Order: sequence, then C-alpha cells, then structure tokens
Amino acid sequence: MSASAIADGLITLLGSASVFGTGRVRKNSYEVLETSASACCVIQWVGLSSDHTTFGNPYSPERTWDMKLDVYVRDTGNSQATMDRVWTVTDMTINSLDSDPTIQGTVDMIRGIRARRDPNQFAEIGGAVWLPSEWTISVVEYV
Amino acid sequence: MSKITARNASIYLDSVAGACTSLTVELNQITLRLSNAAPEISPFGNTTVQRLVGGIVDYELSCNGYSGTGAAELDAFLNDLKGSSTVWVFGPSGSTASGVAYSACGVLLDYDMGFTTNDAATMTFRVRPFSGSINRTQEFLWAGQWR
Repeated sequence: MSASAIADGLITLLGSASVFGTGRVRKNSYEVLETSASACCVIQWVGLSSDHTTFGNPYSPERTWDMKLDVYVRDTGNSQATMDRVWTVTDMTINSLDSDPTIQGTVDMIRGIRARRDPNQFAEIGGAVWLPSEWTISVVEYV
Repeated sequence: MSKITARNASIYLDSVAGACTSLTVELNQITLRLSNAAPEISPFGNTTVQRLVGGIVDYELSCNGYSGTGAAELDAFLNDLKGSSTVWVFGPSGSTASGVAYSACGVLLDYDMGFTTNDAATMTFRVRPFSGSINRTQEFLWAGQWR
C-alpha cells in the first residue's frame, strides 16, 4: 500500500463509515474547517520507518507509518453541548479505530494509537471556534 | 580485512516433493554451526589434555523468519517437511555463481511458531545431518546440481 492509500482508508473508516460523516475527513485540505458544522478531521503523515526485516533481493520490508489526525470539534455556542461533543467525538474516534485495525485493509495492523488534547487550546478558523485534539496512529504494513 | 553484508545471505531447501525452494525472503536470521568431535585421548602422565583430530563432523542449521501461512510459504513448507529429509544450500553472500555455498542433506529437527501482539508472527526451525557430509564449495550450486 501507500501513505495515500492508508489515508484514504482512514477517510472511509472515520468519514463516510462512522464518526465524522462523508466529506468531513480530508487528507488534502483544511478547507473542511470552513464547511463543517460539527466536527471534522485532517490527516497528515508525520513519520515513516522502513526496515529490512528479511534477507532477499527484493527483500520484504516492514514499514511503520505515523499518521497524524487533527481532530476539530466546533464550538456550538453552547458550552455544555460543545464539551459533550468533544467527549462523544473522542469515544467514537477511538472505537472506530479499534473496530478496524487494518484500516479498510490498507495495513496489516494498527500498532498503537496516541492522542493528546490541551483543554485550554482553542483555534479560530474560518470564522468559527474549534477545540482541537491531536491523534497519532502508528500503523504497520508488511510489504 | 573485508566484510560481507549479512543481508545478502540466501538459503534454499528442497521441499518434501524435492523442489528446490528459496526461503530467503521469509527469513531474517540464519545460523550455521559446524563442529567436530575432538575426543580426549590424554594418556596417563600427561599434564595437559590431548585430543584426537579428524573427529566426526556435525552441524546445526538454525533459521528464524516469519510465519507466512500461504500454500508455498514457511508454515506449510515446514509442516510438509516433518519426517522427511531435505537438501539445503546456504550462500553466505548470496546465490551468485562465484559465491561460496554450504550444502548438505539434513533432516528437520524442530520448528517453533511465535506470536506476540504488535509484531509479525515468527517461525524458527533447525536442520541437523541426515546423511552424507556437509560441503563447502567456491561456487554456488543449486540443490539439484550437486545432489
């Protein structure tokens, strides 16, 4: 597979198939922040290691990709509803990732998921206020 | 002094059907241990141990790799090889015609499968002598060529 294919798998897994809805997960643009009414996600790859794990020419490498998900929850103007949405989106995101450790068959496994969020951090983008969180997913593919 | 790159090593084993099969790309470690018996023959009165040279040669070929479960992959290959002899050829620097090769007729002694979360399934196996001798040649001969 490729980084692009893995990102497409995440778009399907987290987008049209579950948490964010169709068109709310992007790999090529942040403009979704200007059009989304509730929550959205932008995918980047931030790390790659490709290791020789076998003899042979060509050998069979083991590739580990770190995919970064910037998850944004939009401030609704109602503090409680916004905070509730953060909890809900977080639960749905991790449950969705756990439900398909091959990310639509694009990788052999998700090796680890790490997420962090600063509750004091807000972002004003596209005329709206967003509560961001950063997710890093390490995925492995045996080529 | 020169060094060779270990990752160029190659290994071939005959399948149970006698087909020379490369297992190279499925393995990540190959260890060939050669030994010869050197029995002690110290006579009375000697103050230092004396040994016999030219004793019986033994070897153990042990390999670590990954457990592919496809029809032509390591799991099926080794399972089929249980109870049968095999011919193997090991090229420390690959399988080029001018490369060194070790070869012998051996028998699969055991194999182990290992499974841990977050890693690929692994497989190890050992081959010990079955018949004949172990050979070292200065050219890489496929199993079917020297047998």
